Amino acid sequence: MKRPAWLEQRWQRWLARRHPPGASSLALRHNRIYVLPSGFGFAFAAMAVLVLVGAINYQISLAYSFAFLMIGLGHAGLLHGFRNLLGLKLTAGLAEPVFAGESAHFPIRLDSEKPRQAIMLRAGDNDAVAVPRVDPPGGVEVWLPVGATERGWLTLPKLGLETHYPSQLCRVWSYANLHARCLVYPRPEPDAPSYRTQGAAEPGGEVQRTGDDDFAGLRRYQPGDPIRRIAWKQAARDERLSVKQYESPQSASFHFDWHDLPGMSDEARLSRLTAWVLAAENNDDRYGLILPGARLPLDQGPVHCAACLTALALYGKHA
Amino acid sequence: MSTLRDDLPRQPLYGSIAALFLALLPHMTQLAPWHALLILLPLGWRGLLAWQGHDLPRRWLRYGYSLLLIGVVFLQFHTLFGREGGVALLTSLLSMKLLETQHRRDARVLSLLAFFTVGAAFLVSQAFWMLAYTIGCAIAIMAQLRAWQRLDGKLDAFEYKRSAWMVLEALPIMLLLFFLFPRLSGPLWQMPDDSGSASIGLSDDMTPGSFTNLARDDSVAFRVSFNGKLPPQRDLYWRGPVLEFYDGVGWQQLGSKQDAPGDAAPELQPLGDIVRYTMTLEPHNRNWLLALDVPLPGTLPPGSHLSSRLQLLDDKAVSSRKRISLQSVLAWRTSTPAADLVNDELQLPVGGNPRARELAASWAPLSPQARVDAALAYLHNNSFVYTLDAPLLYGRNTIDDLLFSTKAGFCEHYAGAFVFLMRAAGVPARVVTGYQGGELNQDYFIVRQTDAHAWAEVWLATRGWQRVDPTAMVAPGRVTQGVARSAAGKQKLPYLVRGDSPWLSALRLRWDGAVYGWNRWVIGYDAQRQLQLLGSLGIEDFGSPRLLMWLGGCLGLFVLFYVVMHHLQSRRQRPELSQRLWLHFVAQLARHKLTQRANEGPGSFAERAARALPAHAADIQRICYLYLQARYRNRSGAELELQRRVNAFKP
Repeated sequence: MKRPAWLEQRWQRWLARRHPPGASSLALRHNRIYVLPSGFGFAFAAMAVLVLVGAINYQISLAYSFAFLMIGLGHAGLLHGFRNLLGLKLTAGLAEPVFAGESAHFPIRLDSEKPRQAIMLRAGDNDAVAVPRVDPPGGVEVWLPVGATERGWLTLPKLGLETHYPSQLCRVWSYANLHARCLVYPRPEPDAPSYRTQGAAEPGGEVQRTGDDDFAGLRRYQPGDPIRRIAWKQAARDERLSVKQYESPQSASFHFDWHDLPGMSDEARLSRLTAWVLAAENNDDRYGLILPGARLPLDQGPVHCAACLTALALYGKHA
Repeated sequence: MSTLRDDLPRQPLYGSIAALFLALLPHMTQLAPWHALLILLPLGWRGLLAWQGHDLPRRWLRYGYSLLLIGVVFLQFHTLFGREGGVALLTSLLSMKLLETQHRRDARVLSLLAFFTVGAAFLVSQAFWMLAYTIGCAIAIMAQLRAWQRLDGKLDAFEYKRSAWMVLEALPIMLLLFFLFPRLSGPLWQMPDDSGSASIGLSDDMTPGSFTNLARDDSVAFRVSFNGKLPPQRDLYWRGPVLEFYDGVGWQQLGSKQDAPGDAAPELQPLGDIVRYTMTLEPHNRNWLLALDVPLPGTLPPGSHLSSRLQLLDDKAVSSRKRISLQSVLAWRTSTPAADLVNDELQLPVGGNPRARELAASWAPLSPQARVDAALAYLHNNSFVYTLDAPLLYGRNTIDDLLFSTKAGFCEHYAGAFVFLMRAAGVPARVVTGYQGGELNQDYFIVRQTDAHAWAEVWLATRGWQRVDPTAMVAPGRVTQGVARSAAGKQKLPYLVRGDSPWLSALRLRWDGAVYGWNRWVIGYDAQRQLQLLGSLGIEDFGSPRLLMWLGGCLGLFVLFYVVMHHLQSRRQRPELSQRLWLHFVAQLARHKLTQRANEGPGSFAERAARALPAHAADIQRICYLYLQARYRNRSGAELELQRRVNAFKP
């Protein structure tokens, strides 16, 4: 069922007023939960009416009472559905940065003082995630996918919660506007030319790299670390991810300069630079980044890589 | 696609099968055992398939079985609609639907059908236990329906518990609607085969032994509440079918004449007081209403009429429990009947019973009233025995045998013999069947099949039809104390009617009182009773402001109830009492510059505080202990003491 545009607009404005963007956490209050009978609910009501008609026709007093019991059950189902959402606490956590074109996954923590069941959660128009149970005291954490189309900050769209539990007689839903955002890096250019031939090599930096296989130890995983370095065996034993570090004392150094890429659009340049930063980090080269109004000195490692990618993501945008 | 994959989780499916079984069970008791098994088979079949993880049966098998079930229903009931055929068809469809239930959506449709089937269970019985049973069914259906909404495919005790809660929450709405929803009188449409069931109790003929058989049945025929003074038991003659045709063996009703259009009651002149009463008839599938003696023609319940034989008849058979309010007179005078009627009442078969005819002929010179008295005196003075053990009589001269040789019989023997004598003596007479007496329980009478009775009526020129009870001549106790205290051979009576065990009888009466209340207020709650109830609330009719006030008031109460419940629940969500007390305690200590550090547990904090405030060390240690007990061991006693101690703690 498609609403006309003007109605949709008003509807969204009204919803935005009722569900103002707020803190990163909120509990669903009774005046923010909506209930309407579902198709099955109407069928159930029709069945109750059918029993009632039979009761009238055969003058069976107790069948009257059963028809009314069904109506009462419908009402109870509505209340129980309402209570399935009432008081549910949602907290949005930090989402790992992603590259444009991927899906950001926002961690949403659901807490409750009583068990809840079968809640569908979705962010904006993205795919819904089913939450089979929320049990006190631990609650449950779900990752909500949100399509990241554009670099920069991706704010968590309005969350929609919906449940048909317990009786499917009604649809109970609510919205939550949680404050959370995710950094979206530019999309790395696929099949970008090698930075070794294009980028400006630091003089004296071009040294034969050795020791690519010299294992030097483990350190904690940080965003941006190449996946092939993750120590999976270790991860199976530990709670956290670790990455293998290699001794590479003598590596090449490159400056990736915005100004070295004339004749390309801004986004294409950012894409190319992103690809280079990732490639250089992957190759354990030292690299620096020069953007109009920003300059990151030569360095390497996940932190440096993240700093470079952040600078690229936010180039020309408000921080 | 001819095979269906079984994708449903097991636990809810088993729950559905159990719920369907419960829903079907009452209807299955109404069917032949093999038919019931045929209908229940798919339940077990589906369960087995799920257990073994097999696909659902092929389409031709499913359709074939459905056709078989439908065919069997048609062969059994000759229709697929109406009360019995329709219910059998519904149960067959419900069971077949299970065999092709493959998605949650199907399971939901099944739940709807199951609800309807349970609602139809009241066609089987309207007893109190049936209501309890259907509520149980509703819980079972609701629990499996809840399980289908779960995403983890489980059905556990939690769902049954919550379903029971839902039913509890539904009850106030059910009660409110039950009493206030407008009741319509009369059916919306008539089903074709609704009156074919076997009748219970009296029948339209009387053969020797028929009442003896009825006396063995202690089921309730009807119950009566009198408004005002209770008439004495010997005057309680509940008139049923009037039997006029004697074929030498038994007595029959002249049905064709009574059913004829224009069959009007004779003119009636009431004598004596009017008795007002309400009777609740058990269904007996005949159209007679068993009024006390003669009901006043102007006060008959709607849909009923008084026949030319003064019998109160309903337009329809009484196929469900029926309440009627009536006004009767116990003494009356009727106008002269039509000539052919009198001839009917003088009919006798040709030949047979010569000695009885001879005896009657000897009274011929007397006046009609004197002939009646002579016959009664004859029965009174010749040591006749009133017994349930009457010898069986055969042949053409059964009345002679009774009067002159065996001299033992039950009411039907004496009523028949008396009417024979009267007719032979030229006095128009007829047999009246019905019930006599009843058992007083608190404020109402219970009349059972045991109380079935046959008596006579004679026509006297001056007074019209008048009652004569020959059995009362033989055994006067029958009409004053009932059959159990007056008849010989009472070991043939049902144990509880005999009155050998007073406490058991008392218990039975107590139980019957509860059943009568149930019938009066729940089953017999109809348009009339509703108006009565509403009237007592000051509501004249639907749409009156008073009714809206009541409805609004009740709804307001509901809302208030929910608000209060909600508040109680949210109060529970506040920090627990023990925790609030602990925080208060910590705040008290803060005045002495003692604050609990982030990494400090209650135990080590209390230790530090006790060292800092040696004067209160014991108190502090105790409070800490109590807090830990209350918070982590859930000891409510500890919480109470904690409250006392913290409130008294003034460092």
